[in-house]
Amino acid sequence: MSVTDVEPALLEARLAVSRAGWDLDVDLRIAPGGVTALLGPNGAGKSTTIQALAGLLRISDGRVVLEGDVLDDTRAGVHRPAEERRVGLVFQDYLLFPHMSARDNVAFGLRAHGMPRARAREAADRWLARMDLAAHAARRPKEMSGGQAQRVALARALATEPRLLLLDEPLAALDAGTRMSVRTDLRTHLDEFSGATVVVTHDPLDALVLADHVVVIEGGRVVQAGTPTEIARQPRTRYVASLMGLNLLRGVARQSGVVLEDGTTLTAVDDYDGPVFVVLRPSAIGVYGGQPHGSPRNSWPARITSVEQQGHAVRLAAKGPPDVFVDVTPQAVAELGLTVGSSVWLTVKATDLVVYEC
Amino acid sequence: MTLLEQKPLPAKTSRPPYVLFVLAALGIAFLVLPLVGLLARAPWRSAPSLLGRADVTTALRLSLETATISTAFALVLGVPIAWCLARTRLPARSLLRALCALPLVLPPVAGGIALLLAYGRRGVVGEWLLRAFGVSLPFTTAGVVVAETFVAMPFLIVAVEGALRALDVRYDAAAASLGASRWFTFRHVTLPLVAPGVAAGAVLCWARALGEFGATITFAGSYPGTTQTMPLQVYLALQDDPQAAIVLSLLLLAVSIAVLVGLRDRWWSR
Repeated sequence: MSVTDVEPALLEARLAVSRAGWDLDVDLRIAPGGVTALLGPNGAGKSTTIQALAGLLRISDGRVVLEGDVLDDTRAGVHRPAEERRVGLVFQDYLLFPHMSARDNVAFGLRAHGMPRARAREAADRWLARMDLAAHAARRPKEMSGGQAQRVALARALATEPRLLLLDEPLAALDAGTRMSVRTDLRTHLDEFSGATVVVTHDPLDALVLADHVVVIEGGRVVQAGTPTEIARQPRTRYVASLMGLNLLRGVARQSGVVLEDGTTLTAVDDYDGPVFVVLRPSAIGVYGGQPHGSPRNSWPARITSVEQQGHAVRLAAKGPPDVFVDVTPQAVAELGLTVGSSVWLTVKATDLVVYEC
Repeated sequence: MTLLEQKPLPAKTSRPPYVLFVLAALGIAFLVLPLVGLLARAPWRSAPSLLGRADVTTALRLSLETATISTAFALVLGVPIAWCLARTRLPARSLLRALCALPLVLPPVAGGIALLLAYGRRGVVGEWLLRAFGVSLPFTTAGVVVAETFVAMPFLIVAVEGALRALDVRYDAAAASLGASRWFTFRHVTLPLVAPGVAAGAVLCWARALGEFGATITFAGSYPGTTQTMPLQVYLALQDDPQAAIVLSLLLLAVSIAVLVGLRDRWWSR
């Protein structure tokens, strides 16, 4: 699949957790220095995966090996508790100890491992300096901003020198303004970390910026895995496609073109035979008031079912078949008088269709 | 959030119905009048000399000492009980909680009888204690401590368990992920975070121990100097020296008010 299969893995995990009416079955392999993003909707099993890796939850079946160290092996009856794993965990809401200063929060793990207070505090100060927080060492968590608290939580986890770092929705608690800079910052710190990292997120941008490998989980199963580029270009489920802001259609490729599930046919340039996915970028679809004449090979009538401003563009939901999202400029909306219920013609060039095997 | 929630309550809805208002006023008078009576009838002039009397200072010191030692025992045993009730999944947890709270509702005299049957000279444990170590608890100062701990510890357990339940258990998970053992986590994370609850529980426990009467007189008797605490002295004084009883009651009232002031942040300043 990718390079990670060839390199020796630092983390090798197969996790199965079953509960009433729900179960999780996930495989993960991460090379040293690798950052894997677990992307998925709420309830997909992301948090359960991270808790199992941290040892906070017992798996029902599977095996977890970190740098040759067996942490879980249900067949052999092995389960190492959280405090005996070299696994660092950064919680979504950080969970900094509210009664301790930033320095003592970072020193906590070292003190727990038996390091004398003075030495642990010196080490904590070095970590805080690396995070540009030297001036805030004496502050309590409630006196810090969200971005600062996030970096203290990261320093606290890294100070114990874990081999596996788990980040649970690391940017979810931040406002949109700070999220951008913290994300970039986090990327830098992850680049310096030699262990394996798992980032849980439901934000595709986090996955694309922070990770070199993305695993998409839906309903407790891995539905797609690959590099950020592969995931972004060739989504394999509607969930992933909608995250990437793409239209994903399914059909069967024939010589005449791709026959979609709804019965319509689109002309494509790729030469495939058999079941395929078709991706349409919403901005590649043209909107006309009447039936267009000219070059585009694919055109179909549709009705607008919603109109929403998104940034500088306007996103239209159009009912076909096929049903698609279309991005147009506000000027186009004004010129064509587009409102909910408007009848339009949609067009897309054959060269703008991305077709790949199911 | 709706509009109604954002605005302060309109004056009309915060005025009680007349029936409630009258009953509430009656109830408050009922609670306050005894205190007024105590203050009005107190022999203020003779009070200082009375408080300086040797038997009074002895009883006061005995009360303060035994209440403090009882509170220390309650802390050492009660905090672990509270932790187990709040954090573990023991199968008989509800039953255990009910048993620990029993002294709260049990008449203290009955508690005293039960203590005699358990730790008395002929009691289940007491007989063995006497034979093995020559230790006899009833009618000793140690017996006072046993009676006070028995009656007062539940107050501490309830307060600490409440504080533990309000604490986010994920702090334990965070500590464990940093390599902390459960004992290290308890000492450095859990205990500091529930310290206000432990303090409040200890104050309540201490106040209850200070006022303990029924279990103490039953289990430890009323010997001046060794087991006669303030409440026992007040009761005995009432029969031949009512003035002294009033002054001693005032002293206990002063202590109670001090306790309430100590707890004000938690209870009545909201």
